[in-house]
Amino acid sequence: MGNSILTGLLSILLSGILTNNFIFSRFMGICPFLGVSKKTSTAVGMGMAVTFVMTLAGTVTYLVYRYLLVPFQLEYMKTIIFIFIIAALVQFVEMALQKLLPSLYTALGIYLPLITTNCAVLGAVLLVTDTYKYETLIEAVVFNFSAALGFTLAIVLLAGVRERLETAPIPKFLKGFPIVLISAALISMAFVGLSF
Amino acid sequence: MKNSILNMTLTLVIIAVVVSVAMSYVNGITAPLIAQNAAEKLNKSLAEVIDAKEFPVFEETEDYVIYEALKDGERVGFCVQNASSGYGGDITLLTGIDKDYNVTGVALLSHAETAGLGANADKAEFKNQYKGKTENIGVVKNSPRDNDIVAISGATITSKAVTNGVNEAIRLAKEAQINE
Amino acid sequence: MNNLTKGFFKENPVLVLLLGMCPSLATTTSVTNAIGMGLSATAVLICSNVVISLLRKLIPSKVRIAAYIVIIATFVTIVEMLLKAFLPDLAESLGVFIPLIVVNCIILARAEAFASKNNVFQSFLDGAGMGLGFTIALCIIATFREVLGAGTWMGFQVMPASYEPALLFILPAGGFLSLGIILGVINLIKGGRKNG
Repeated sequence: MGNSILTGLLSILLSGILTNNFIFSRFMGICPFLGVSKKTSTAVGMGMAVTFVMTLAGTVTYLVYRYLLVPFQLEYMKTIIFIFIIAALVQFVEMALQKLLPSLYTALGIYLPLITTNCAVLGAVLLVTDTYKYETLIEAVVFNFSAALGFTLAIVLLAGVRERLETAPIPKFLKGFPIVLISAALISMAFVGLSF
Repeated sequence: MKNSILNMTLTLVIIAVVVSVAMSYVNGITAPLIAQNAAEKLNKSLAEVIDAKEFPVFEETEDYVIYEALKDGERVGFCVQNASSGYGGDITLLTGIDKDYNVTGVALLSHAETAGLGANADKAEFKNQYKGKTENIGVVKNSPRDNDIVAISGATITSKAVTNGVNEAIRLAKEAQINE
Repeated sequence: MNNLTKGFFKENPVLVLLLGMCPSLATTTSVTNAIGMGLSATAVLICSNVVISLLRKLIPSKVRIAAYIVIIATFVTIVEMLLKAFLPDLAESLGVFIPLIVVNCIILARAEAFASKNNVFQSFLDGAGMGLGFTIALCIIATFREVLGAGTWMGFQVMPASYEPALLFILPAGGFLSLGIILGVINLIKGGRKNG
């Protein structure tokens, strides 16, 4: 019994990072993906911040949904309640970073409060309530955690590619977003290839 | 004064109350319609997978629902609604099964499979393969034997997931009929 | 009048301002989905712009972002409920991206940049223009992807029967690729204009 729970969690973990990667398969989290990933170090920092927010948000939203919204038949309020929880958590993380890791706080700049509008954060917590696959708290938390890891993997990968592209000869009209998107396309194809 | 704590709290509270009332009002109007849509979709699918007119619920658990398929008051089989783990999440299936445990039809009630690949499992050419098959259907890439279906090229996981769900449905129908 | 049309081309939110990336990639596998998403977002944008403009003198600036998010989330929830009730097939195709309109950067950006500082009628025009520009951009991307990836446009077969659809464009990688190519082409056009 314990064995199948563990393999179940492992498959959620792997699917979130690889086969159903939030950025390359589900298209959630693109704005910060395209914006932050110019330097690998910033990308890692952003990834860690997002992972923290998403894991915590996943826990809180699951509990609120399961024990507050569903019993009172208030499921339709989930979008507004969830975004509220996320905004509050991001505010909290902002204040914590400012005190504990001020260099990261300055490096992330405006992208830190923008975690609130990161589709991946809201998307993941909503997906937990939509499908019946993630029924227990631990499944929901692992789902969010793996989604965040997948996001981190994606932005770090892309940052690495962008660092190399800085010095590559690229036609002028492709410079900037076009070449970033095309690189993302190539990485995405590799990720899809992992599934079958 | 405008940014005083009282003013800020008051504004947010008033906004919260107004939006809650607005959403609750719209919910009151739309919730019954949404439930109706779901019921209509289910009825349409039930009639699609087996030739019958009425579908009273025979057995219902958290994981599956078995409907009795009645035609002119007589049972012609069962419809089993269950879920199977697909590529993008759960696939909700509806399988029509006749009294000899042969599949009469398969419908996908909901899925999150990849458009252009796994999502093609919802096409007639794939679903029709299940008609006439019986328990323990196999999945192959080519040269199907009698009780095999051919997987969608590039969507093996989805094809297997649907097949697993159908096999499970047949098993459930068999159990239901035997335990009656 | 300029406020209405600026969103179409000069300040197109997706193709010029590079906002709203997530739905631009996720809902453009078919033109029908693109139009559905575009118009839903436009409805939310217009409503939120109007309400925020009406309340702009009453909302204390320190809590304005929180207030905007709550107002936007409410309209999104209402639009979601209406879609599920009256257009259930579209609601199912668009899935989780309907509630994700809440974090569509475009809506919050217009609330902050325009609706909070202009009168109701101008805010209405701004919302309508940006929303329609968003819809136009989504349709362009979706046309590219649907025609090349499935041979159809809005479900109607447009490519000759002998055309073998390039499945890639319907897949996630194709989304990145399509947007990258389109942005590259736009850069080419812009660059061409500058050089005369």
